[in-house]
Amino acid sequence: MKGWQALVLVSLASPSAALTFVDAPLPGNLVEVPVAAPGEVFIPPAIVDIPEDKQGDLVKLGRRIFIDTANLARRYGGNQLSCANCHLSEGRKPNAAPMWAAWGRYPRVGESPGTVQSFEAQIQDCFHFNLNGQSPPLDSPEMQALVAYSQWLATDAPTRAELPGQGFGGGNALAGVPQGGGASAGSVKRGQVLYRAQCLVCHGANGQGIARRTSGYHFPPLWGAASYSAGSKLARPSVLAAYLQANMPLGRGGSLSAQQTADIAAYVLAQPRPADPRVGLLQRLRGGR
Amino acid sequence: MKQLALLLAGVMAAFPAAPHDWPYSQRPSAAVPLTDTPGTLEAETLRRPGKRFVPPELDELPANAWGDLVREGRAIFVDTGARAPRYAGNGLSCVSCHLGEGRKPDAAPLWGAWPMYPTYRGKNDDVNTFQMRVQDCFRFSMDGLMPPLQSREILAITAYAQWLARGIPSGTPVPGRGFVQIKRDIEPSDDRGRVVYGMKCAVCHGDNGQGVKAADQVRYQFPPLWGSDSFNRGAGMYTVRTAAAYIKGNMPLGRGMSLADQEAYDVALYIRLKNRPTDPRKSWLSDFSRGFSGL
Repeated sequence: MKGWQALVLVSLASPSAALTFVDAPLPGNLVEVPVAAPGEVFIPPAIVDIPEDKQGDLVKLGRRIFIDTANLARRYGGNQLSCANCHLSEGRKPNAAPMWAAWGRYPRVGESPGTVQSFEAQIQDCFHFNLNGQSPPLDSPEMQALVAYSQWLATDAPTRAELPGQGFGGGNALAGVPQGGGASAGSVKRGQVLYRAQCLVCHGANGQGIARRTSGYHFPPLWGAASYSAGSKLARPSVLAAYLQANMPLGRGGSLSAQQTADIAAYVLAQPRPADPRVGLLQRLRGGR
Repeated sequence: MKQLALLLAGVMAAFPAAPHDWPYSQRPSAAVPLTDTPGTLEAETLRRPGKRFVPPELDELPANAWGDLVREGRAIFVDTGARAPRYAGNGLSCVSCHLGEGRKPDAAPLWGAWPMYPTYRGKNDDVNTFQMRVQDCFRFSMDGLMPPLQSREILAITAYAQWLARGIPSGTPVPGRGFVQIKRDIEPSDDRGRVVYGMKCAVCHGDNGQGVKAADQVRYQFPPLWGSDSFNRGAGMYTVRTAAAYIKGNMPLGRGMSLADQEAYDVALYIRLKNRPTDPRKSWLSDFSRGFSGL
């Protein structure tokens, strides 16, 4: 059996696998990939185990919205990104902010002092900043379906537990501490070289990604008008570096060093992208974000 | 005098001295007990043996915004009329039914409910989130208005419930959640129910089901079971079997599982036949026609 046939078989046998396989032969010069997060991680239930009832229908709708947001939640989406473009493998992959780990950890202390962010408010923020669109109301079917899907992914995961594989793994990226630690500030120049070597084949020379024929992307755009806005958490160098180190290049997470990911993040964030929707035009002209 | 003695007996049963093999009868997070516990207590037998989930203690909460939200949720939960006056409609608090601050097993504890939501509910034939379920409590059991999903009250109660469920696997039905199982094929009789009510319930809930107010004359020490200050006809407690399961598992206070299934059904029917606020989903005419269509 040829390599690509096995790959297709695997992707058919496990419906939970990401739908971004390409029909290409596997490279022959494989090297052993270091494991980013050794140890056991939580395994969410399989798609075939979704019950055949109304709740199951909502969970299925939530999954479809999750992987095809640009089409099924187009009322609120601003660009063509999907949830699954960052939350890899339909929100299942550890260290890519998996939904099964997030569900039990919200509500949690928000970023601005004295605030608490609920799970629903976090989804709204994803729509507002990462999808550069509108926040879905709390009682919209899109919101209900995404909540139901997340809760179903977290079936049997303990409530309010710190699970291995949550967030981007490792250090607290949101607090400004990159995962590897010890990396100096990223260099755009080094980042450009690394980008061309490691990222360009999927994300394109202009960061434009590769679009699906219908809606959404095989590989999401990293900058430009079609990418996430400057209000996104991924527009912060430390957060983006932590994400890259845990997940990129696709399927080889953990293969880049902290310094390399900091460089790539600096390069990607030096490119233009939609402005932070919270910042007004005048403020932007004055040199804001 | 006799009533006072019976009341004392009820209080003794409700707040036994520690240590004790039934930890849920006590208010776990109360800094000061409501009354002095009498010294002459006998050990109470555990009526429904088995392992139970023990929710976390209040002083384990961190001193940050999330901890504040959870504490606020608890405050709303135990004193809904004062802390959520925008939405509460009658004299009840959440804790009037969810005993022990939402901790007691078999009294619909919050830690049993949280992991199950979102879930399908036959009541509205749809999948409901936990927040929507809380809205229903306000609308029917507290005969008030639904708090909006983004209101501070909903956020706080949700955070409190999720914190109580700390460690429970999501989607898992935990022993002690909801109410106890009760037989279905029982024909209730309100005549017998009146007798049971007079013997076992009236000492706390009053001959007219009016309950007993606390010292401040605003809150209820023991909630009203019918009348304008009680739950309305849309509440789950208005269903005889639901009320019977609740009564069986929890009533008389501190002596749950002491009534027979038949007695619980009888007293539940007796309470149901009394007057109470109408179902907000129905117009007054269809509520009036209830009289012609049986129950």
